[in-house]
Amino acid sequence: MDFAFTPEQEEFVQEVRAFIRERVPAALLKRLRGGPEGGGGGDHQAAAREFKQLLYKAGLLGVNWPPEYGGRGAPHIYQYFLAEELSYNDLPGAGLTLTSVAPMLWRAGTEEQKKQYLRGIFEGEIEFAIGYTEPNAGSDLASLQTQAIKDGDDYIIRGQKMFTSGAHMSTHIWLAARTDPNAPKHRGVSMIIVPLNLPGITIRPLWTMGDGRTNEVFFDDVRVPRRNLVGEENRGWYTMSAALDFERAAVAPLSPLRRILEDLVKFCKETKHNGLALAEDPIIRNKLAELTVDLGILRLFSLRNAWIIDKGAVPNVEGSMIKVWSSELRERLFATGLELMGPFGQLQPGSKWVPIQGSFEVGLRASPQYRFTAGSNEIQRNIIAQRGLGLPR
Amino acid sequence: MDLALSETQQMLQQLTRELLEKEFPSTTLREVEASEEGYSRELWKRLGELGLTNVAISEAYGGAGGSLLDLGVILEEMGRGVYIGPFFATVVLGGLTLLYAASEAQKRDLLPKVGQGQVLLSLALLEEEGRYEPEAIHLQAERRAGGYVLQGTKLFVEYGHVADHLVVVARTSPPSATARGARTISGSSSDGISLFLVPRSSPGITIAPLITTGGDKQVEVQFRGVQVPESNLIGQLNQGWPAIQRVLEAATALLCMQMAGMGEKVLEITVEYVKQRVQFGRPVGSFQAVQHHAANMAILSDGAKLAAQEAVSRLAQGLPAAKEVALAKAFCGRAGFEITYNSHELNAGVGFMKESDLQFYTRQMHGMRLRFGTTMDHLKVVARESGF
Repeated sequence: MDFAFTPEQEEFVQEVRAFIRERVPAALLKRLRGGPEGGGGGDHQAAAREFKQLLYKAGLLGVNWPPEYGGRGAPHIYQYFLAEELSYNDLPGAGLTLTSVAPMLWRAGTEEQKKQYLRGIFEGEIEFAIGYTEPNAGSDLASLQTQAIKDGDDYIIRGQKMFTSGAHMSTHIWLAARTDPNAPKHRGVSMIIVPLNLPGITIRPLWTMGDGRTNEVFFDDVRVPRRNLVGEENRGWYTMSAALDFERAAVAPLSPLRRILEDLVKFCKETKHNGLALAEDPIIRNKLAELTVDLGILRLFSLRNAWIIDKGAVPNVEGSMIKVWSSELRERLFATGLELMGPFGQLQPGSKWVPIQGSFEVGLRASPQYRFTAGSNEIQRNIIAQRGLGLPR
Repeated sequence: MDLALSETQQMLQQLTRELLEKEFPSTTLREVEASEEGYSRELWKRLGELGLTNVAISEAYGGAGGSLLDLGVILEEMGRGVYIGPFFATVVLGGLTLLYAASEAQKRDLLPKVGQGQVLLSLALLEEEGRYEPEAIHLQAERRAGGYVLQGTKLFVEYGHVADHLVVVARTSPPSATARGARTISGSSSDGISLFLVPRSSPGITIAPLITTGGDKQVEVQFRGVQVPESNLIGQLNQGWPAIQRVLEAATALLCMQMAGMGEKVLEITVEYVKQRVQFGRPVGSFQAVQHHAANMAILSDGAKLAAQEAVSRLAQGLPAAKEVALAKAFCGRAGFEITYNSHELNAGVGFMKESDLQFYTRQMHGMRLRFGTTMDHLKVVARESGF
């Protein structure tokens, strides 16, 4: 048993850090940061694409993919290192297109699909939005109603997707649609790739309490070729479930939370009340130490996920644990920080009085989504209990 | 990174699990708890025969030359099997102290016997203040012709009433102010603490049992003018604390393995119960309210196990582990409490009865949470080691 990384792995982490420090033009970094959660569109989108192309040229994006796709053929754990470093620096590149859609295309896609999409994903030209959730299909995802009706060599897509984050900045949607309305609900679903520029698609913004943008996407008889089907027809539920396992493993990496705690500790060391730093107050120290322990546990859960992926397996119950733990810890981190700021915690970013650039204020407001996206924490606990512990449904 | 157990470790795991299932059923545990000796001599003999007592002893002293992690795997199983007996006191507390601090002659004399289960040891460390710190050591060892005379009281000496030898942590000179400051950083070489190997049968020793929550045996040991020959000094005079600190670090991490194993087993017992207990015409385990308690317990159990494993594996590799050990004990203490007390909610009345085995786990977990630093104690270390 060994919890340490190899020297080669440590070297790769250093390489990514050096890349971020030295190879990304300052002007680009500035354009990349400070965008609202969920993506700002416009220039932010262009900047993200430029950044991804830089990453790809440096052989970092897709590091774990075979050389014919521009990767280095490195083990999967390298993707974990890359994602951690990018997230820590609030940089794009490790989104769901790369961490959830691409691995599923690799496993379930045809040769033609791999050729058509994978390189484009790595080069930053292709970006997927995830099309699972619908107005009446949230936790009960299998009851989704968007239809894909066979018509010659095409499917005709009819229906609505909801909370489709990033759809306004994506080229394609990774769509779960019903191909057999008569089959039991888990058995009539298929995964279909749909370009978002097709006629009949309407994307409307939805704004969140955290100032982020998400969308609803309408499909009015959108025609897509049947070769856009990924995997077997009517077996899409299983592709989607595996993609969701990847998503859960990726949606909650360690580093964003590590960054939050570091900011909080720094604030507590620098802020003095009656000459005493907050970090010297025993009650506050105790709080910070508890959060440090909980973050340490998140680190171990993340390592375990990376190790499972590295072995060629897909984390399942382990991904659910990480999702529950990290989303609830995120709230505690921000809430503790704001409590320590007192009235200053109310201030939104932009005020000259606001601590930590307002990132805790907006952070707490934006944090509820982590408890319900990618399967609510109730669903995750069901998965842990039923799949993990074998409790009856 | 590789989070799998080695083949040897899997073998040790299976061996210990099967041994405890066979030789330490709850009927035996009940007898052992009620007895004065507090352990099963037969099981102890088997532990020795199977080589489980010599796993972490170097080959030079007749041991298996295994790592602390190998030992950790055994302790995890002992947690699962709610084992009580002199294993931790002898192999971890006494054995590691000798391994880390004793002279060649002392090691050659004692460690092979420890490995074969022929000798029981314990560590006499805590005193009135109950703190695991050199400043809290007041038992005096006064120099006399040819040796030392020990005077004072030790508390919570695990299985001290059956140990053949006690490793006694004694004060041989007052703590210096500079030493106190230095110790918090790296451990000082001159805390005025010395270690002595003292036969339990020495004149001047009296032992009284302490009745504790876990049902394991801990005793109070009075030393009234106990004479110890010069040759029984372990390590250098006045320089005993660093070795004890090293033993404490290892013991804390290993205890976390035991707690993690215990938590995991409590979860398994609970899952089995809620699967078969029927109310409202269905197993209560099919209710989400029950499932979510179980899921929370599973998260805590996995977290505790990973934290314990990382702490022990770092120590096994000789890497600095102060933060990891503190983090593990802080978390295992919390997880241990939540897992056992949630299990009582789910097992309800049946699990609350003395005839249920669950009570052993809860009571032992209680004791473990309170020994080798509580969650609160270790949170302080986490703060210090994290740089705030």
